Amino acid sequence: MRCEECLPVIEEYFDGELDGQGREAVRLHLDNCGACAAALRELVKENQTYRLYERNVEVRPELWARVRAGIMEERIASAQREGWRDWVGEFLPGPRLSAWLTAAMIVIAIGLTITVMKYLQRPREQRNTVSSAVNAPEKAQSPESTSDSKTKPVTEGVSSVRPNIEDGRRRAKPPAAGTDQQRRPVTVGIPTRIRTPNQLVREAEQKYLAAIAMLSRNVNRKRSRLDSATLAKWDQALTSIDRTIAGTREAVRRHPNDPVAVQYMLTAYSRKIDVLREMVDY
Amino acid sequence: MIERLALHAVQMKRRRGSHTGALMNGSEDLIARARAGDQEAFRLIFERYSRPVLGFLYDLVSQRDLAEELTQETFVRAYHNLKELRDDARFSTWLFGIGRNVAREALRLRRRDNQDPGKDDEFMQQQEDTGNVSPAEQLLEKELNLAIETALRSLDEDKRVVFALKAFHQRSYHEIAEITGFSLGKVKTDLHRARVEMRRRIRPYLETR
Repeated sequence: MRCEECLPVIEEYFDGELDGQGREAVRLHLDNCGACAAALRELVKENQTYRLYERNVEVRPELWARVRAGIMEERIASAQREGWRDWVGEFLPGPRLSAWLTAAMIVIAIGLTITVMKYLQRPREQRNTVSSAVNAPEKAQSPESTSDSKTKPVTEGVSSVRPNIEDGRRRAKPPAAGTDQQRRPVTVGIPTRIRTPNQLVREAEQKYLAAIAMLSRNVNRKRSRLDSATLAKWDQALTSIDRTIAGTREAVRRHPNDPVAVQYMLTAYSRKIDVLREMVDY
Repeated sequence: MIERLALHAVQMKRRRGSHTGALMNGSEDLIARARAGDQEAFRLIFERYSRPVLGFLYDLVSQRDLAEELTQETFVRAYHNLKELRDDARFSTWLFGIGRNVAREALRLRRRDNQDPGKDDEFMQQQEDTGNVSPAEQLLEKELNLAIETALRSLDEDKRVVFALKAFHQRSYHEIAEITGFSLGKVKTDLHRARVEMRRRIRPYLETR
């Protein structure tokens, strides 16, 4: 083990949070490294100092009396609430939902949302395929013919995957002139600029990548001012997030229509941005 | 230094001695009885846990009176929610979690009302009445307490709660995560940052000792 590996985990070692193997590796390193051993001694000394911290937290006898009074008050209030609920219940009887029933209803609601999203995607893809054969000349149709009412369901579908995409800062821009988007064939009555959820997700991904690149530049400028232990922890976190991003991107590539995979991927990007922001603000 | 530590340990033992009576019953047995409505059992639970809870809440709000009020609220809530406690062996962690929520609500209210918590003068006065300690030691202890308390108050809320749970209540990372609702990663990061900040503020004091 080297110092760069030891210092980031020295607090965990001191706190007794490392597993057997890790603990042993740190211990062996500490036996041979004066600098890391000094860092540990500093932690021990600090901890001894904190143990000397005395604050007046003797419990006064009247505190129990106050707690008992509070319990009684709460009991009375609770009884009154129950009485009121029973009284209302007599006039407005309704189903009482158990925790299991509530959980089942939530699962059904999620299932329904996914089904509806898939339903919304499928007809559009089919229409686009048919239209490419039948309505090829219409591909030059003006972008101004875009109908908001038509685009809405698609956008809503994506927003349920990742609501932040709809956020003003991250809202997807209309595609630039001459892009594949505009050349895409369309059906009669279907506007040319409707973007599929996949395109919106790609645009959101591009925006995340741009933000990550910008923040990374700021972080790189700041690196020299950060202490090595903090930096090592952050680098560890970023490496882990990068692995998650790579994994989720692969999942999205394999299952482009799976909203859960998309959500995980965008969340991983968002997490990386959060960590980079923290580093910039540190 | 070692002599001072030993002296302190003896004082701590003496102070905690009054609570040993409450340790005669097992916590889980007491919790089961309290859950069944036995108020005497709950009183014994209160005797056992009120001091650490009050200490924890004081660490968070830095005001003796407010910490007492929050302790009261914590135990009232605990009593009424005992049925929701899934694992009796984790009662202490659960109770601290309630305390943390109660403190957070109070701090949010205080921020909304824009009240400055101010220094707890009564606490400082009581710090002076420390009994058997020599004047020089009293002065040292007072300085140390003031330095630590000031440093603690300079931490933001998340770091303060994580640091207090580790440094003053010796909780594991998992317990801290359970009490605060933070991820394990956040607990580690916040604890590290809190230690760095505390070190920076306490160091000048340590060097003069």
